[in-house]
Amino acid sequence: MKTLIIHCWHAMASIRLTIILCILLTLNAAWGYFCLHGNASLYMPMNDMGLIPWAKTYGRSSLLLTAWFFLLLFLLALLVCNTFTCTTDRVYRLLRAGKTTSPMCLAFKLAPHLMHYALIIILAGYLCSYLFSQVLTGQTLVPGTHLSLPGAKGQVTFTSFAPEYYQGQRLDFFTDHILTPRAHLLLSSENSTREAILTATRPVRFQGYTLHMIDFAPKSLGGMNMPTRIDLHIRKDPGVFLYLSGMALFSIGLLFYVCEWILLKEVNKQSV
Amino acid sequence: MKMSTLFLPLTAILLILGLCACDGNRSATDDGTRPAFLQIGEFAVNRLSAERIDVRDGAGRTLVLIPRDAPMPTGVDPNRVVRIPVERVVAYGYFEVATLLALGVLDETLVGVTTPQDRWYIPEVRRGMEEGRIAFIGDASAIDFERLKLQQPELVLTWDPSIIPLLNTLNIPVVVTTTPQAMCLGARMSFVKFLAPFFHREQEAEAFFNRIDDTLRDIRARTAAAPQQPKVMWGDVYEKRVMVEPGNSWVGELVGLAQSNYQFRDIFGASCIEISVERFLYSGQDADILFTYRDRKSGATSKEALGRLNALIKDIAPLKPEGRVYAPLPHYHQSGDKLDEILFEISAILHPELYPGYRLRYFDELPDTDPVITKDSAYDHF
Amino acid sequence: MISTHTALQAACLFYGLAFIASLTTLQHRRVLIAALLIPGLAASLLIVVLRYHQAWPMLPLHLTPVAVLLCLGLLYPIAANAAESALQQPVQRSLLAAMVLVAACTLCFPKDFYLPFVKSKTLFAHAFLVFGAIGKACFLVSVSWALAALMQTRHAYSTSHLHRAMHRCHFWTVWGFALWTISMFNGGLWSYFGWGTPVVWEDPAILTTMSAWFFYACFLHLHLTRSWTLTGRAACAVVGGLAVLALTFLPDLGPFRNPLQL
Repeated sequence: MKTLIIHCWHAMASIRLTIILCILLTLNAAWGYFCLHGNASLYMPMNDMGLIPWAKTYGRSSLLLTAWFFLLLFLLALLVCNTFTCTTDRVYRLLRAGKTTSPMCLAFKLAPHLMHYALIIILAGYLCSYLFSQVLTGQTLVPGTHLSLPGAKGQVTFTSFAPEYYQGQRLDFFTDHILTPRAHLLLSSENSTREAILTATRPVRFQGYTLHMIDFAPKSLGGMNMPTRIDLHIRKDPGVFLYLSGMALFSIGLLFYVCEWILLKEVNKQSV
Repeated sequence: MKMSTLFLPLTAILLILGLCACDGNRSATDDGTRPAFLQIGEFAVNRLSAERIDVRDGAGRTLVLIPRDAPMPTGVDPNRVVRIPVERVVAYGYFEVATLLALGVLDETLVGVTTPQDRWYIPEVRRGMEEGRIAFIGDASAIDFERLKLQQPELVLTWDPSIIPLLNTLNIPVVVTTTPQAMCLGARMSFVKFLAPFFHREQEAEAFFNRIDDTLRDIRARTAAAPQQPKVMWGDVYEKRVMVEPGNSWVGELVGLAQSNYQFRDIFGASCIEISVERFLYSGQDADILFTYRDRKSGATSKEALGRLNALIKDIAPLKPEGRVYAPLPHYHQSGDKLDEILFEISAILHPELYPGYRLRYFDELPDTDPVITKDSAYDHF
Repeated sequence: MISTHTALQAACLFYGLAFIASLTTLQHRRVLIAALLIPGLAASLLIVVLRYHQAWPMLPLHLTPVAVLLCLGLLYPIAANAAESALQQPVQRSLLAAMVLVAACTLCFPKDFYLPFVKSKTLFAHAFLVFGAIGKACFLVSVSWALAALMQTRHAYSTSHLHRAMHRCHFWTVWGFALWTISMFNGGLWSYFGWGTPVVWEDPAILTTMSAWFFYACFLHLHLTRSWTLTGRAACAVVGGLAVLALTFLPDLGPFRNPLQL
């Protein structure tokens, strides 16, 4: 049994498997592009309903257009296993040999492995996001109205709309259009009340939820007499922290790798 | 480990998975006839059981449809629960009203609209308003909520989500009927299937869909051997803002289906999408036909008048004597229940040679110049 | 006032002439190429400035091909610099050919008619464009070096040239990969702050970006493990690189437009 596990571990840790998986993922993503093109409405609901319900409905009902996505999941799962085993093998060897090298040198040597682990964290974050997110879609507020967050004792009140308009004549059609839809919110919990400004690119965090402005009206100063409103998506997404930390870790690893590569390898002009 | 030893099994697995994926759109059915899950553009109907249907509206909100006598489901916002069949509906737009008509439920269910009686062309609505069954609840931008409350609707169909907060306080569920992306031809003709479960009118919806489908087959067959493929654009310029129907809209798809070239087929997005003036003018250089959003009331009386309204477009080919421009007639927007006739007419406009003797009913071909109104002809109007 | 279309026509013309000059055996070829590249570069810069000026603080949509053109022009003096003329010439030519190709595609298939949108008014959107464009330019440079490496395989004496060319190819791939990754992360952050979701499915370009990322991850692993021969790796960099890069340009290209029309 032990030998079988070791055998599997080594098979999974093969860098050749990495190469094959990367080639397959390249082809799969290219295939996905053609399936997604013009069929976005098939995939968009995944963002709020989550992966499993989506797979059971949209995914299953249009398999010809979604098969690439299921393959992508399968290939990514293999890639994660492969990356984990391969990286762990190498890190183990590095750490064992690391007793004789300087900490800086070890840090440089660990940089690529940090990127590999970060990739796993990013993918895990995305998976968590699509599996465990709690999303409230289509929450519309008009000035003076409020909504309560589910399971929390918080209340969000839309107090006023103070948009910033497009200035100047650079784009004729954009004159008097709203450039920054700025919504003033009052966030009340049991103990405190605070004000927050929500814009289309700046979500507001409150009691574990994030409030995202998906749409707003009116769009311009005249605005065809549209009543003022903001449409929110409210999300509790446990994957965000994971994938954002993964990105940060990957960036650190990348920085170390590039530094090491420029400082050491490029100077020494090692052979290829 | 050799690369080939890994590559072969992996490719085999992928092939098997791929073949499994190719078993088509076999989705489960609840009664063997209706699909359990139906996607209609950005709308969806998911029949979870005989007692519960989940629908997704244009704003991505999920509403739960349950029988009138069923207990309230747990864990669902009461404002998102609709008891079916719905008996009293307020509809904001012409499209929703026309869909109710197509389902054959307008007379029994419609209780409120946002257009005054004199602007309606649907006899059933005019009659309903005369009889007091259907109320004008105010303009869409200034709804009279007291009047709305008096009508006791069980459901509001709207394109404007700003009424949702107030209707929530009145415990009236809302369905948003517009979508961020333009409705494609399939979604346009299937929209009745989205509203059908609200009224238990699935058979009527199917019949309507089949009627449109037959018309499309007819158009395809007639135009298959069309001698020429006219270049078509659908949109307009308002001062310096250009709005067009994108290629993913139902009109864009229909033009392609009728063996014609839609000049904006590469554009993807919302209905009435804004694009740059340069693109509109470039596409207009060699277009044959322009469908404008404007009607006579908004100044589309002749090609010359359109050119006067916006000097930018006066040089595009459809506005030249050899080009053709069509404006919708006032009742066009209220004729969604006659979608088959509209599709047929558009096809006849694109290929007049294939439809000899056809008389336009929903569009008006604009003359080069405004007719000169003499004293006598002015009297003719009265 | 000069339009972006006219500026693109000018860029295309100057890059085309520079490419033709690179094919000649003139004594002052380098000076001539530089003299033609500078106005071409100025024209590309003008397009980027004009479109940014109009859309700012929002993101001008589908600007990537022009931005890549600008980056390639700026990188050209560094990218094509090699001690041996045997390597320098093919790299210069292929880089100039790439610039002509990108300029011609952008001119013939413009997609500059979409208007900027409010959600693109964020630093992440701009960083996504800038890093992506520089990354893509680096990838194109790496393809040029790989092409130069492939050309060396015909000569028996050129093993050291082959090594050197592939070394440069790897150098540019690493830079491209790093910048491409940073661009993708910025795209991820833009997606989160704008829509609250990890993926914005409305834009299928995410998949071409992903495809290129996996391809170059694969190429870097091939390089590090040295599991393929140098020629094999060079061929992979040229064929695969060109294929995935062409794919990444696809979402930014529109329908055909007569390039000569004013």
